Amino acid sequence: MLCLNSYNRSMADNPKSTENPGSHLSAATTRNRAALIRSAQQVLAEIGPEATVEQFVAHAQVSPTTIYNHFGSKEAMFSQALAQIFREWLVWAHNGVPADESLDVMIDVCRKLFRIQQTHPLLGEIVGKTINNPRFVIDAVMADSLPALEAIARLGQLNNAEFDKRTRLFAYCVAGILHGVHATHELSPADADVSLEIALAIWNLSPEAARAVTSRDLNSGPTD
Amino acid sequence: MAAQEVLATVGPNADVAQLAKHAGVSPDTVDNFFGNTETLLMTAFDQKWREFVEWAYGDVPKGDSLEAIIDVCRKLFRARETHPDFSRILAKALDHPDFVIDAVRDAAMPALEHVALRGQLPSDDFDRRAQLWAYAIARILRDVHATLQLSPAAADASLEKTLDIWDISPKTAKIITSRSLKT
Repeated sequence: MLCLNSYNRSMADNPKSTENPGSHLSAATTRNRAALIRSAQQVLAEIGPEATVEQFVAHAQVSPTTIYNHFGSKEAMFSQALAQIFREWLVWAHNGVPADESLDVMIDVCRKLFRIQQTHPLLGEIVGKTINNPRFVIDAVMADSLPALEAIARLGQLNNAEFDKRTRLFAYCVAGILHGVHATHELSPADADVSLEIALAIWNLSPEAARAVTSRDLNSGPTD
Repeated sequence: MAAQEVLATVGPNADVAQLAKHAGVSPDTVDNFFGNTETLLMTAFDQKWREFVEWAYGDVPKGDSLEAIIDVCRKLFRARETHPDFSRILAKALDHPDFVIDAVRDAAMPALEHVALRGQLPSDDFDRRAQLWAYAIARILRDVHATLQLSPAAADASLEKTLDIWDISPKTAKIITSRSLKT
């Protein structure tokens, strides 16, 4: 899922838990890895996931073997680079409210993703360059996204029947909206909200409920 | 056509050097005839798409009914058996749904618009629904042709769900995605 996430109570209590796993790594290795991730994020924003190893090493000033030593492959590095900046953004987007709390919260976060050009320009550039390959983006964020969606479906706020099918279809619909917002710029954030409202039909949400949930004031605080 | 072979083996991200090598021409020749690689690949995809759609509609006029469009979608899910070359192209191209959707827009939209004019699809928010539906179908096609996660029958069931985007009732959606397909 693009807009859904596993941001949870432990992450709210400890934002540093969103950093790369690997506490067993030496401090120097961790620093090098973090620098590579930052470079990979910049290359994703400028070129996209089709950037070659040559383009990346020219940008990061490292040898190609460094990529393989840290990540195993260029694809894994780019995927982790996207996953990390997305996860950091989620902490901001949730503002302390757990993702699995309600559909309202999940949709608010989704709508904030339509507005990252203003709030998080680097992530906006990355989404703009990567979203023409939804598989890459969805693979990178799925592990963080699915648990919250499953929890919301269990709460009965989404149709739980044929959950996997609906999830796949909805993820691509959201990818299509994000492409319109961040790649082609055909959709304003407000336009994207309306498209999201329609896409919620995939979950059998009534038009009235879909409209209500996509029209909330994004500046309001936690709902509880 | 060399561009179609490049689509099937490399995908929409192929560069001019890869295209020129397959075609046995110089990169300048590609540029001179098509302006850029993307245009050539889109033209190649569009041509293959139109050939398939012509076959899939058979004698039925395009845009005749929603049922006819859905039948064509379901035949797309079965193209691995009927049109293996096209299936290979779809498998690669669907890593980039925007490429596929842009490439087939001119060929596919008139039929959808015609069906909406006849009242079988809602006209309000038509463009938005069409775009969302296109992405949802792109996902199904990818699962059928690239990852092989969906059988044609499972793809039909997913297609049934996508019709929610068009406000089609579940009962109608089930009926029109279960018709006997004439080949």
